[in-house]
Amino acid sequence: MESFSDQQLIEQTLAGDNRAYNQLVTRYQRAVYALCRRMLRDHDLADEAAQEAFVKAFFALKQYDRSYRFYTWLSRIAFNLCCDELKDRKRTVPLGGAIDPPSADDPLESAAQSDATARIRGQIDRLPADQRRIVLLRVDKELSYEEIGAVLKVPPGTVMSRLYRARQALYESLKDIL
Amino acid sequence: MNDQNEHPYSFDQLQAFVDGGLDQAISGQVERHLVSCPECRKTVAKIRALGTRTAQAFSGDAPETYFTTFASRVSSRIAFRQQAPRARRSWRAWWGLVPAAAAAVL
Repeated sequence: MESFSDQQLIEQTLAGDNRAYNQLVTRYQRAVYALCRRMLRDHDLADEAAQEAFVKAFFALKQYDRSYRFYTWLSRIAFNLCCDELKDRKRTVPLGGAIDPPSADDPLESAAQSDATARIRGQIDRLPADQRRIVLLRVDKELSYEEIGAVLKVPPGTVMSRLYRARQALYESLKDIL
Repeated sequence: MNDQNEHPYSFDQLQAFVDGGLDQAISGQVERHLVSCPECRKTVAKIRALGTRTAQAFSGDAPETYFTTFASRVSSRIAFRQQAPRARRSWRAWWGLVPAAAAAVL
């Protein structure tokens, strides 16, 4: 079953084979969780949003538009759930968050890394929301400009120009550590 | 950012090159230009470095055990919601019988 394409697994799920959907979940669980974690900065909230994204996708599978990659569609569901969560709680995501900084053997190196991590996250938090969302969707390189555009409902050219502005701003503020 | 004559590719295009957003032919041209242009190479390296540092800044991952049970937890939620409407329907059906049963008793 691991070798089946997304489309085949979707067909099998729609035909009533829940094991096929399990396979889709296993295939994308890390990417969906990582997206939710980047957006919400909290394991429990990310866990809830990621699980809900898969549940929602399961019940909406008949409406899935096959002109998109399954992961793009799934990302859009997860992204919208995270936005709802942030809106509901009027959460201002605390800098630093609950994400563990990259580990290093040398304590000085470790401190420097975690300082850099906090700065990068802080600068991303300071970006305008439309740019920040694109940066967060682009981090793991899973989504192309077109796919990010499909998630955010904006043209790919807009994705590109916002990403450009975001990167310019990040360079300016982070050039000493790049 | 770049002098148009010496550097025919804009930052936007170099960004798209790094992101894999250019078609193959243009991507090949950019690659050839990079061989002879240290300044554009530096810009590309900066774009890549920013991508790498950003990814590291968000690299917090859940423990492996979290993912080994993730699919089964999703599956349980789906099963629960599939059963929930059925359970509600069956309760409604039972309650629907109450007036008829009461009438029969009376």
